[in-house]
Amino acid sequence: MDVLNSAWQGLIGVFQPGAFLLMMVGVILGNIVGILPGLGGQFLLAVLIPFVFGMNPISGMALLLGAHAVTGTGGSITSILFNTPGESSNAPTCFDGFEMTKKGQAGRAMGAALWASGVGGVIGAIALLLVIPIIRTIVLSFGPPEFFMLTVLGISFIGSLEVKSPTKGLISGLFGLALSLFGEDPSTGIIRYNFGTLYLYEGMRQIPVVLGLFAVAEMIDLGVKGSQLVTGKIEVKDSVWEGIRDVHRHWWLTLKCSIIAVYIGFLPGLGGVASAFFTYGYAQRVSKHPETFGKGNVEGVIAPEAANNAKEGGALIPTIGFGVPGSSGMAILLGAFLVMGITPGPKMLGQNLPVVFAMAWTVAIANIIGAAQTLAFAKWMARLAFLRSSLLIPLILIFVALGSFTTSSSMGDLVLTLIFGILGYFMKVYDYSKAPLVLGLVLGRIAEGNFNLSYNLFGLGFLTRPITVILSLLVVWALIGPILKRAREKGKGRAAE
Amino acid sequence: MKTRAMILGCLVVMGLAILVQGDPAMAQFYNRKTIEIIVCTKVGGGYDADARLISPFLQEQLPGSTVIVRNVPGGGHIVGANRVWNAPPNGLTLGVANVPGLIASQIRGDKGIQFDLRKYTWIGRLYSRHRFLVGRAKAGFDTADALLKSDKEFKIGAAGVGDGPYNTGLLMAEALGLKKVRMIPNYGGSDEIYGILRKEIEGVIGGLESWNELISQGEAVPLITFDAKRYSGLPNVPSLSELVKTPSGKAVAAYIAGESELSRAIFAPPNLPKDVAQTLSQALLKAVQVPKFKEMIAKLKREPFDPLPGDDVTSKVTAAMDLPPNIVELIKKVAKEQE
Repeated sequence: MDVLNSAWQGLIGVFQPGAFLLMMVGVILGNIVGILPGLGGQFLLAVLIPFVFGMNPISGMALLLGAHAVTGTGGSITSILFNTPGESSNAPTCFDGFEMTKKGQAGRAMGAALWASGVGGVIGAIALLLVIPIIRTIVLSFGPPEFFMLTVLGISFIGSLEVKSPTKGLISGLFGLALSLFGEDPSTGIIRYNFGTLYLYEGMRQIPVVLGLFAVAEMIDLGVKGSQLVTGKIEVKDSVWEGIRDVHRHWWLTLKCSIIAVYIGFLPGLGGVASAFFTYGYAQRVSKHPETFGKGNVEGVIAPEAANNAKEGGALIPTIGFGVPGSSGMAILLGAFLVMGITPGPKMLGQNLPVVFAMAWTVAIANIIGAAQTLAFAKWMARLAFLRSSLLIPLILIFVALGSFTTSSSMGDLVLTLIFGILGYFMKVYDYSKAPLVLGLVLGRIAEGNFNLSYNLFGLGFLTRPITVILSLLVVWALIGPILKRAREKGKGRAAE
Repeated sequence: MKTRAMILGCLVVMGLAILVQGDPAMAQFYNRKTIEIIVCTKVGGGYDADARLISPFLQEQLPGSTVIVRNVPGGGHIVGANRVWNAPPNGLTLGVANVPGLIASQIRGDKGIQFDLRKYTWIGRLYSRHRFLVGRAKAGFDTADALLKSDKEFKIGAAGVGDGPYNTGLLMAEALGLKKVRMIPNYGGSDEIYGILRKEIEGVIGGLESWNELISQGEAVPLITFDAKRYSGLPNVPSLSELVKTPSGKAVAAYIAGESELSRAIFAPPNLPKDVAQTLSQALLKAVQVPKFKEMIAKLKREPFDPLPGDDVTSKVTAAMDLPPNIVELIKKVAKEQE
């Protein structure tokens, strides 16, 4: 009864006029920042924090959590319409979302993405509440060996992301893994492949690479072909609703991907980008039509978008439960909580449960409001895809340049964006998928770091830990599953003849 | 007579008022100007947070000014430090970086460095960072004495080979003659907290602000402070300088203590006009003393800031750069162990 009472008090707190208004403001800002490529949730939090000084905890939290919870939502719009991910974690949405736009199904893609984001965010918030009693056991059961095996599992998806030509997918993935080796190796302090420049000291920066590979490459292609972005007939009417219905049609996929993302969100060290790629790869693996991924399959939009918002609920779990930030965004939030007199940690769970519930409610409600806000404009935003390419190309390139430069105020980021833009164009021309490259780049460094740490701590014995063994069996399934499936299909084909 | 006295009195008061206010020209210098604080890290993290905390209060002390924060990460803070080095000395660019790390980088002769730390204009310091060796509770190392006497392996987590805590750990082990200390890199961000909770490592090196929560939960215990003297908030925790026995050990302890003194130093391009530097230094000192700022720091459960003016920081940087040859060799040796 005490728990129910705390839940009710938390809900009332969120709907106080001041707190609710601030949450709405936070959601609007989060959506806007999410749309602008390169800026990201951390930037918004850093800018908003000075404003919460002096606010009461519920109001300040409503503003910050409201903003942070929905930056992934806004980022999906540019991913779908212009192949320009708002954040690195929106990149998988480009694979199928943009293809749907080209087929004139932008509204459907946006409806699916935005509603999946909202639903995923709510699931993340519910998971936060359910997991808190057992949070310590779960979080501490995963260490560097388990993280290493998780990243290997993610990398094993590389081969299956390119169904048409697994060899090309593997080449792309291996190239991504090779790129992940650039920069300082924390295990030895050696700077690898920086070509004598300080710029590559910390390795390949994800945002310029992703913006180049997707947005710039697409604009180059558009310019070379001289055509319009959307060649199919627009199906705007009811298409947004169709997308929303798609999320309900694929409710099981939405739920599974949200739960996977929550889990990845509260396990430290993997990062939000990993959850989006993981769930995309997983969705393709379990789909009845995996060969349609990358060609405009709405499941390829639902999976990563549900994951993007669900993971934020996951990242809140160790932040609230331990007082240890579950992500770099949470690290900034933690500082803000302290200023507002909220001290996350085990004591908070015992003494301030209404505030914990208020946080969870804020995340859930902010996601629904964020999705509803953007859905209201989805139909009109979808029409942007029909702009003449002579207008669209410079507009997109300006946004991409701003987004790429803003992260570190470095001209090197612009150069990197351009280089990967050209590379991305030729990958498109010669039919090499970009998904494996980005997956390799994102997961490679995490895998290497966790392998070195595991070996340093446990020697090769780390491979015999129980959860590691289970995950390695999943890796085997991920690798040989598609081979067996193809063999079965060939066998059926011969039998039919 | 009375009139003359009155006029003289007014002139004296006006003169005093001008002296107290400072140069009236300087009071207007920052009107409608934008000061950029270059933070040499990405958004988030300690340096960025501190710059964003102080910027509105610094702005108040420089009437008419706008103070913004710009993140210029890369190269282990070297990229941002180079940016400040090459900025025009017009009082509109300040830098916040891991100054102890930059000192070590310059001593090692790291590639890409364009600056000379001795030649920056040092504006001041926000606070000295009290760093500690923090141990995992109930690991058999609950006091410094236990650590010194034990022959069990003591694993210390750090983000990467060559970073501040990594170097400090190796130097500490060298100074104390500890053979069983092993540094474990790849614990980035808050991963080292989990490393302690999962019992993978026995110790970490960091500021109290990162570890207060775990200490209060009984999961961690401060073992050694790297300040020159014991920290007043933890009088039972010995300092490294009182534990070391050899002269070279004492020199290493003094070097490490010096690092803490400079961790939040603020700098400007070289050859900044003295009056501009003085204005900025005074503004920084006053900003830190504003009651609202102090209240905010207290709410964040941080130690009260103990700022220093620019001239004092300049002396400390100069002293830190002019190390005894044996310490320089030790720092280079620690760096070589990375390769």
